[in-house]
Amino acid sequence: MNRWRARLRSALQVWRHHRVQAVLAVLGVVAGVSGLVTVVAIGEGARREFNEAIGLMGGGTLVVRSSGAALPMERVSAVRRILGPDLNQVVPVASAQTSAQSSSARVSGVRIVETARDYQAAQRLDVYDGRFLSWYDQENDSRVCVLGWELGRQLFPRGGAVGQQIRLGERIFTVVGWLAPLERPDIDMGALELPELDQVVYVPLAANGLASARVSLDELILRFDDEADMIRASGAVQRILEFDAEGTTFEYVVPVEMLRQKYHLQTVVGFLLMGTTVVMLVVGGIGIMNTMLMTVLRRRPEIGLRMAFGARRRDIIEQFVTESGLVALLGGVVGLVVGAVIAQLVGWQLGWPVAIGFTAGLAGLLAALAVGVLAGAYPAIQAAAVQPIKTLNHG
Amino acid sequence: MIRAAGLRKAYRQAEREVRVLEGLDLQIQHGEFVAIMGNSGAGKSTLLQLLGCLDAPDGGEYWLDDREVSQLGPDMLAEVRNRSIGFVFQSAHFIDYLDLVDNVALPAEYGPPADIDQHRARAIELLQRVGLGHRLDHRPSELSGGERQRAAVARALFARPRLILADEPTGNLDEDNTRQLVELLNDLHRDGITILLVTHDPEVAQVADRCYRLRGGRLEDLAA
Repeated sequence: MNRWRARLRSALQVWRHHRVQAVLAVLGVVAGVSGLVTVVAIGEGARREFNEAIGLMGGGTLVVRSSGAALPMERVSAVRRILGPDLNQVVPVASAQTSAQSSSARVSGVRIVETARDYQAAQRLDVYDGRFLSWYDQENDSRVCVLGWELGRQLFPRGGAVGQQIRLGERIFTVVGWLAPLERPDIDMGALELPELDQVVYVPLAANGLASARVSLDELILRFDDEADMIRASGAVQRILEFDAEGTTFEYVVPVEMLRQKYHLQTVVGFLLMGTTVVMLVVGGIGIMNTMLMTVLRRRPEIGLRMAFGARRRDIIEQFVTESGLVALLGGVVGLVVGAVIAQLVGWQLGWPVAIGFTAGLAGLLAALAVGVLAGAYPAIQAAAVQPIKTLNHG
Repeated sequence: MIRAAGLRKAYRQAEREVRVLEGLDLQIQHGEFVAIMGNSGAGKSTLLQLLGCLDAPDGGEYWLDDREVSQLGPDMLAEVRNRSIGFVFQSAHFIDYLDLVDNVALPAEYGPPADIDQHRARAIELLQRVGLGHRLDHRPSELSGGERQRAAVARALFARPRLILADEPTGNLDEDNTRQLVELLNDLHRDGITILLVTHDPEVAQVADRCYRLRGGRLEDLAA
C-alpha cells in the first residue's frame, strides 16, 4: 500500500511538473472517453425509454384507426363478444376539434375526446380533482366532462374547475374531473399521442353528437395481457372489423413495435458510434504511448538513479505504468464531463432521451484507465531495460 | 567489508569481445577509505557497476558484508543497493520534478515502509549536515555544482549505508568545491563509513588510506 501511494505521489508530481505534455498526451483519450460516454448515455436512454413506455402502456396494446367512413360501434361490440376473455379492455375513442368556454375564458382549437371509463386505465391518467368518466355517465348520456391539466388552467386560471359548467361548441357540460399534469416522460407512443393529453377535454362517448355520427368511432384501443396474446388475436380483430366495411381504411398500430423500431435505430446508431469511439481510444492510447516513450528517453538518468538507490525492474515498470494510467484517468475524468455535455446536446438536438448514469461514467473511466495502462506497458518495459551506470556517467 | 576475487567482466562490441576486468582482486576492510585511479576506458565504471551490485560479474566471487552477492538475483541485489550502498556520481543527477528534500529521500521509496514525515526529517537533517540547510525548498536545478554534489552525498547517506561508492565525484568541480567535497568524504570516513572513491585526480586520491590503479583489467597497489 505504502509502495503504491509513493508511486501515485511521484506520478502526480511528474505530471504537475510537465503539465503541457500531460495535456497533449491525453487529448485522444478525452475525445475517446467523451465519445464513449455519449454512446452509452444514448443507448441507456433508449433502453430506459423503451422499458418505461412498455411499463406505461403494456406490451399488449393494439390501436386501430379508421379513416374514410367511421368505425361502426356494433363492430366494437362484436370484437368484445368474440374475443371475450382474451381481451382486457376495449376503449373506443372518437375525437373532434371545437372551442371551449368557461365563465372567465374561451379557448379555441380544443380537442374533444369521446371515450369510455377504461380510457383512464389504458392511458394511465391521474385525476387531480374530482373523478374520471364513469359507466353511469355513458349509460345515461350525462352532459359531463373531464378537463386535461393545461386546458383546466386555461379555462379556470384561479382553479376550482370541478362543479363548474363550460360550453363545448353549442352544448353545456358540467366539469366532474380535472386531470393531474402528465408527469411521465414526454415519450412518443405513436398513435396514443401522449403529449396532447394535457390539452384535451374528455366527454362520455354516448353523450356527444359533437365529433361524428353518434355510433361511429375513429380510434379503438384494444388491450391484451401481453404482446403474444395481442399478436394471436390481431388476425381475428382484423377480420371482424374489416368484414364488409368497404369505404373504410384501417390502420393497425402496435405501439410496442413502433417503440422497438425506434429503440433498434438508436441501438444501431450507438454501435456505429461505438466503433468510432474505439478508434478514438486507440488513437488516444498511441498518443499516450508516444509521450511515454519520449519521457523514458528523456528520463534515462532518473531511471538509472532510481535503480542505483534500490529500484527493481518491477518498481520502474510500476512507476511508468502508474504515470500513464494516472494521466489517462485524468483525461478520462475530463472526457466524462465533455461527454456528458455532448450527450445532453445530442439529446436536445435529436430529441433522443439520454441517461448519463453510473454505467456511462464507470465505462468511460475504466476505458481510460485500460488505455493508459496498456499504452504505458511497452514504454515502461523499455524504461526497466535501462543500464544505470551508462546513463549516470554520460547522461 | 568487500572481498572480490578473480572478478571477470567482458562486453561484446561489434562482434568483438572486449575484456574489461580480468581476474581482479580487491579487499577493503570496514571503515577504510580506498581510491582507485585509472585512465579512461580502463574499466573503472565497470568495476563500480559490479561492486555497486548494478551488474553481475561473468566470473569470480564478490563478497559484501560476508554475503556472496555475486550469487544473488536481481531483486536481492536491488535490496543490497538500497540498504548497504550509497552512490555519488560524477554528474550529480537529480529528479527535476522533486524538491531537494524529496530527492535526498529517494532511497526511502524502495526501502522498508515508514512515515513520509520521518523520511523528510531524515533528509533535512542530512542536508543540514552537508551545509545545505538553507536550500531545503529549492529545486535541484537551482543549486550550484558544488551544492549539487554535496546534496548527492546527503542522498547517498540517507539509508545509513556502510559503503559509499563515489564515481569521479569531483570531476566537474572547481578547486574550492573539490576541497569541500573531499573534506566531507573525510568526515564520513572518520565516522566509520567505508568509502571507495574512483578518481582521475591524484590529489584527491591522496586523502585515501590506500590507492590502486586499474590497468589491464587488474588493480595495482600504488603504495607498493
